[in-house]
Amino acid sequence: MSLERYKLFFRELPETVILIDMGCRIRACNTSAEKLLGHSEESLRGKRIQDLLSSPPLMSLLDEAIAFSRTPSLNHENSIIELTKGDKKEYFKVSMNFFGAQAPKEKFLLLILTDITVLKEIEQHKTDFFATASHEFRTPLTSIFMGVGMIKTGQLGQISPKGRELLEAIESDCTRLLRLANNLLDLSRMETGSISMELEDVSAYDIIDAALATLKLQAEHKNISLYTKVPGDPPLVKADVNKIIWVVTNLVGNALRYTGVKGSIIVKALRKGTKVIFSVQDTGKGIPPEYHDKIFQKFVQVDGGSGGAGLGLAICKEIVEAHGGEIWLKSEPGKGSTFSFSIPVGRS
Amino acid sequence: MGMPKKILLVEDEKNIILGVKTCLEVANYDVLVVEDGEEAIETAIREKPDLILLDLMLPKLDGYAVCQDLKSREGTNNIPIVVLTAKVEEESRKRAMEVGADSYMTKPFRPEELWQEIKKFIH
Repeated sequence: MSLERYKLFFRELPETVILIDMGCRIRACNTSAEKLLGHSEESLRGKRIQDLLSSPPLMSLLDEAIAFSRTPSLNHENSIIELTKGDKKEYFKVSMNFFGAQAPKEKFLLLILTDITVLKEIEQHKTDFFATASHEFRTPLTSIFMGVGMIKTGQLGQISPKGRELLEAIESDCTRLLRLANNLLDLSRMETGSISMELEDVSAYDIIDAALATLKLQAEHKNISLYTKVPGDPPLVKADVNKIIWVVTNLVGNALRYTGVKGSIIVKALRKGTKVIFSVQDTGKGIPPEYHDKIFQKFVQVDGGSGGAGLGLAICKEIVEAHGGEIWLKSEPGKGSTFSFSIPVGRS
Repeated sequence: MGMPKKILLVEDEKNIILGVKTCLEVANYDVLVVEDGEEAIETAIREKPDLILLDLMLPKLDGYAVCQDLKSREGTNNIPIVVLTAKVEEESRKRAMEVGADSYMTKPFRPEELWQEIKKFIH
């Protein structure tokens, strides 16, 4: 193919492509970039990108790239930037790549911005929908909870044992429905980043302690031993306390559901370099290998599960990743499961 | 036993009215029910209830406006207001507390939870 053809391809790519030198000056760009920056390639050449695009996050990514001469690690959080065009907000996914020219020896940075505004809007619609749905669930649930609760008191008339059993079943399924509505709302908020993170330095031991406090009774009922192992001085983590307590509570709650009577659950926190690793190990029936890759996805449930909606672990993953951590599973059928996650260590 | 305490329930959902009213009557409270914001203010001024259970999304005048009005009015400013709402967002809670609500309960709740909350304000 001729060079002219390649040039044409480059010019007409739907992504915004800008070639920058190590002085942050534009050396070339395509049609889409011309549209975004509002000038022709001719007049853009030699201009500093900082003077044309107002996005501090993007500039700090570029500064980092140029200062260290390598592509910064981009993740879901930092690779999406917001640009304001008139009164409209547009969203772009950033990617960048270095490449060198042979003669004269020079290095360039290829900056590619993909317009994801439509995706962002869809996400927002989804969050709005879940918020509305969650709200609309609460009103009928209120009258059901009140009605069942009042009948259960026996003050409105005597109830037969069978009747009581049915009322308990209704109440427990209402609780399940409520949990589902709550989880859907939390998850969609986490996904669109509309739940803000309030990071503070907190002891890993305190997090485990708070999570287990709500589950001790349930463990006693099932005759399951709950152990905490935090060796040495409890490490500090940089975390949004309530969200990480939620994660630990969810993992231990799952372990309680899948561990048989007289089993045990060990909750650990261990510092490893710049991370603290939390783990929840149970003596349950284990999780078959075919689920290991997808268990953190939404609506995935292991066969013979306990009737959840399959959202808990997906939310755990969102929360852990929002902390810059990872979550993983080790399990062998018949030998129990260990769920672990890492989050950054705090400052002591 | 003294006179039963008077509670004003401001709620526009028929089924919730039935549930909450039953729950309060069993606990020996006197219950007045109104279904919109304007009526809530008039009734509160006239009847001087011992406590108000207030939904936020109401016809005519919303719960925030009702709360703000009653809390700035001589004669009703001392009546405890417990908000009962399906709005779980933190901003809604903050806003309700800013306009003077004494407590904020999110729907759904169970009878025991409602009794407990009320007992914090009237004995």
